[in-house]
Amino acid sequence: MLTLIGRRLLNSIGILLVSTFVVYILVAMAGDPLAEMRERQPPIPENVIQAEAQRLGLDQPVVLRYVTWLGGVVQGDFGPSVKPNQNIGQELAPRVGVTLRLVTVAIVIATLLALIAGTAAALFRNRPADHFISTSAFILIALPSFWLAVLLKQLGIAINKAANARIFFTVGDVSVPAPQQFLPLMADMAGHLILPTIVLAMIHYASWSRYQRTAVVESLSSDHVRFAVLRGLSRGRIIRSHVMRPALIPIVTVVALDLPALFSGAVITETVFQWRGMGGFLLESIANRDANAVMAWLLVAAIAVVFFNLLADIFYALIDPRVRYGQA
Amino acid sequence: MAKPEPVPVAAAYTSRSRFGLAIRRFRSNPLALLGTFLLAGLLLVAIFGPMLWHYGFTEITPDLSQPPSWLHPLGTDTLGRDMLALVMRGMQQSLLIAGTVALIATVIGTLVGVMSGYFGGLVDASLMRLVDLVLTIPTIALAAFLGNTMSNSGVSWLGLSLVLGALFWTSVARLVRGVSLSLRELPYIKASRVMGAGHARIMLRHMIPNVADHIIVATALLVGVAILSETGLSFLGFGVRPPDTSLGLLIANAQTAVLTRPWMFYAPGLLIIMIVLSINYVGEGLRDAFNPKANPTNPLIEHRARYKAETNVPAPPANGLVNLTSFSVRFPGADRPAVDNVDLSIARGEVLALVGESGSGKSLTSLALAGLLPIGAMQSGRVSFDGQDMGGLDFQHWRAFRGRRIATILQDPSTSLNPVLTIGAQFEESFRIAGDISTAEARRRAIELMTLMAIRDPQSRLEQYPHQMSGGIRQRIVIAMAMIHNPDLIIADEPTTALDVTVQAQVLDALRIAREKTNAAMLFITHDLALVAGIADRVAVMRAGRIVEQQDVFSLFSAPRDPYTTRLLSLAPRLGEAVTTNPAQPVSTSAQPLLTVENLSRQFLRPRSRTIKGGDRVVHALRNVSFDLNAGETLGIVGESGSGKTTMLSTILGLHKPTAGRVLFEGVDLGRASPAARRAASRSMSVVFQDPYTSLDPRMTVRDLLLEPAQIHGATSDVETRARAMLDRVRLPMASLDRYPHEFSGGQRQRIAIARSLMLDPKLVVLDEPVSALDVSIQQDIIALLGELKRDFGVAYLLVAHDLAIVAELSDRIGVMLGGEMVELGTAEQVVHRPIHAYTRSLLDAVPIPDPVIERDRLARRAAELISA
Repeated sequence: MLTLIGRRLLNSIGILLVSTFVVYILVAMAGDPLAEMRERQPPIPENVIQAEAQRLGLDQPVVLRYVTWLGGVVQGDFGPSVKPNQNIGQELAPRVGVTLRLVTVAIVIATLLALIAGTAAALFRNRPADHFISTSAFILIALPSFWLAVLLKQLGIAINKAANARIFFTVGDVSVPAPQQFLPLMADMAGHLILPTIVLAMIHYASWSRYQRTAVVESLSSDHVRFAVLRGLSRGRIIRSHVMRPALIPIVTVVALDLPALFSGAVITETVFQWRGMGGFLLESIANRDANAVMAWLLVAAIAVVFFNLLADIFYALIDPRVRYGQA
Repeated sequence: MAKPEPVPVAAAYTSRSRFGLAIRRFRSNPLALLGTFLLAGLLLVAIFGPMLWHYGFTEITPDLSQPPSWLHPLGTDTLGRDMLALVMRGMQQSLLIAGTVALIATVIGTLVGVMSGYFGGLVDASLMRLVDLVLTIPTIALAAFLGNTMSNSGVSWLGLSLVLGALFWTSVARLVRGVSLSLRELPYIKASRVMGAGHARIMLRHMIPNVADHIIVATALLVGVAILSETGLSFLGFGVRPPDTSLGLLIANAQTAVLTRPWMFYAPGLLIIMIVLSINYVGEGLRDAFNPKANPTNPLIEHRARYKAETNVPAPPANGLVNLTSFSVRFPGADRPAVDNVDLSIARGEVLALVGESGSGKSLTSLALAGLLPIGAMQSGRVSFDGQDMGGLDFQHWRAFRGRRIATILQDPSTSLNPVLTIGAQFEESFRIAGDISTAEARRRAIELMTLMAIRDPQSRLEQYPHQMSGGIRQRIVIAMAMIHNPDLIIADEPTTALDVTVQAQVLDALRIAREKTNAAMLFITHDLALVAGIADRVAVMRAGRIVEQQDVFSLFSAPRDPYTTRLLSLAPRLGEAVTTNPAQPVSTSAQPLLTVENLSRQFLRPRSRTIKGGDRVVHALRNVSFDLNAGETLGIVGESGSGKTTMLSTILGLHKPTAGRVLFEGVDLGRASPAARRAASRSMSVVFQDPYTSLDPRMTVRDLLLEPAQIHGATSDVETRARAMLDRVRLPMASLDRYPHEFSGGQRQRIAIARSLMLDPKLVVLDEPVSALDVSIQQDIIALLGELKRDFGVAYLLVAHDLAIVAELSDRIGVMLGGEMVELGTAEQVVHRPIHAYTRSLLDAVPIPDPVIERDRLARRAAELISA
């Protein structure tokens, strides 16, 4: 088990290294961060632009810049930002926690819902319960997350107005000023989480529940389930140990594969609900063509994805003895 | 005599490709049709709408923020632009971009996926790392950054499509790679390689057409994903930008207007939903149409609904444990009942064998006894067990019987146990169904039962998972589980069919022990009449849903009443006779042998794992195998699974390289030959694989299949005439030429495969288990045909099979393989009658004899030997 985790970890670090290199080159080649400066009217003196280019390291070859950047990252320095007085690391760090909170809660809720709904749909295949679950899943899959986000936010505002009280938090990830004690702080954060989590969880729940349904339908028609029935086991036992357990393997894969999409979704959701999370940081950095800031963002996202994938691998090994014994 | 089976030739019968069939299935799916019409409508509006509508999308009218009216059906925005014009333009943009993205992603993904899957190994590993890498990047972030920096004034639709396409190809690549990997192992791809086809030909003619359906589905679903991503980017301000517009941008503009000017918000949003929904329904419809799955079963649902009560059924005879009276099973749409008015009874402690070929209804009959008929089956008549009517029982009531009074053993031991639970846990839950029992007690009794089943080291088996043990042990564990509650009836559904012949003997012994210890009655279902001789008290023969004969085992074998039984008995191979009827072939030893195999070895490396390390990882699949094969001779190779016979064939056919040793074909060393020489050799060498369902490319007509060898080798003579002649030789009608493989039965497909193998007048035909996937009666036809073709064409056969009787019937010489080595090689007569190696003797001994008197006598002798030993 430990060797499995160790090997996966090494593999992940390799992927991260190559991935950051490719993305760094892409980002560096995508455009000139100083283009806007050069076109400004009245023109900015050439030596000022030169100095800025030097500060950002643009005068050096791109591979060397990557090595310098990587060296800095290892020491916690994400390189200079286009905004002269912004420290990328310090700006990004608190935002990471905010976004991870949203993403993690959404993953947990969406996975649980998908497991329940997908299994129910499969057990009641082609019956009213299945038609209801499947149709609603199809509609949710087709819903653009930003549209749903805007709709829920405006609905929340409308409800608050009608009730003349703040029932739903529609702006920000925490109240300003934030409560000082621990419990009220947690409650406040949870309140702010409700609407954005619904958006993020619903969209992904829908597609995951489809996969879960397929997996359970397949599991149900497998020989070992038939044999379990013929052995006289109870329904509950068959569903729990013989239908659900083998069907957990595909869903773990799907969730792991969908993580980058979840981060994309988080960007949109945070924007609509005006959270000070990673999404806002990314959009601002993109608008400023701040290559190092975008790189820092991508690095954090990639690490999160790799970490969650590692978790998925551990889940695999827990669920499937064939993985644990290295024969699958 | 090889007698052809009827080919489906109806007057109005038109041959359909699999694609045509898929379209027909698609058309009968209402949701998919709805999606298609909706999508077509939206596409038409997006393409022609802007041309016909009298407002342009940039046109500013004096009506600001108007709600929907006749003049502006969707209202106007805050600048006074007509919403319908805007929405139509937005749709145009979104669909254009999404379509392009899907196209780009599909092309890249297909190329990468097919290459990765076909070549495997290092190519696969590096391409898949690339996919992993792209998958770690949140698409929207990189797309936004690249899109934003590519140009100052926003991006063109093409730029945006390129960026998104370059990020989305991974999903297609993963899918195509997965399918290609499994295709690569399919016999029809291997057959093509053996014919000498190049990589490009195989990928273009065989791989891509066969992944095409998956690609179409993936592309359709990708369009939906791309629309959501494009609109999302536009919403954030990094996609389509003003003055142009997109559905995402329109929603962004309406963000604060949801409550005040709802028409601005809902119209674009609902359009996106409709587009994506219709695309997804079309995609799912296509998927179901291309991969029609057999109706999945759910053994958990109630079976009452399907039971048609019948009142006029006579009461069953009072004696007997199980009584089936006028029992029929019918499927809607079938032209005859699958089980037709069967009367059957089993007395307490009696062993009844139910014998029949595939489709005879024997399995359905046994499933009905356990209450597990497939969904849709209509049952009528009466099934009673111990005097109680079993019709209309629900799941809970069935539980009182299943496992406790009726135990079942399924055919395939590799799938009947749960792969993710230990053997101990599965034993324990079986013990628990009749009340609580402590874990220690359950384990103690499980060990007892396993010891009875002659399973070595039962203690440690309890901690193991099914995949860690062999098929024979798994089946004996299943039998041990059947014994737990001392059932009244044990149903054994082809319990040894999936096993090797020597293992089969052990499992049959285990079944006998289980029956003796529990005193249960047994329903033994099999297609193999010979197996029955040693175990059954009474035999019922089923054909086409009816019981044609029912007698005690001794009378049935000595004096069968029904001609079908007589035929089955005559088909049951008798080893001794098979060889003596084989005329001794004068084999010229002076000439150079056609095929020489010299010290051939082949090793594999097992994947690294916790239990297998270092040197243990090397598997010697083949060790130092040597033999000659002369022109016109038939060499039969017998071996059980894992004996290395398949590895040997693949190595000779050039599908993988030998670790050591040489393969000489007509004096040319195939391992070191130039590609041209190899191709030349592949002209004189062909192959017939085991499974006729997978050895013919399903996308090709019989004509294409027969002409392919000639096309590869550029044969100039009239190949079409040759194809017709060959088809005639294998006794298939000319009308078969334009049909697809799926329109033929298994036996007919094997005839097509044989015709193809003889197209180029080869000197050697390799036969890899050519009949083991077929029913007994068809096996004999194919063997007769093979014998006839050999005499007429003078080809040499290299025949590999697990069934000694079949090998003995066709071969001049026989080689016996065990653990990667050739342990014995001699004339057929010598190997069968005077075996030298102990393993050959045990192999011969394990073959059941289709005569109850001799077989029982032999079993008694063997038991006595075991006791004295």
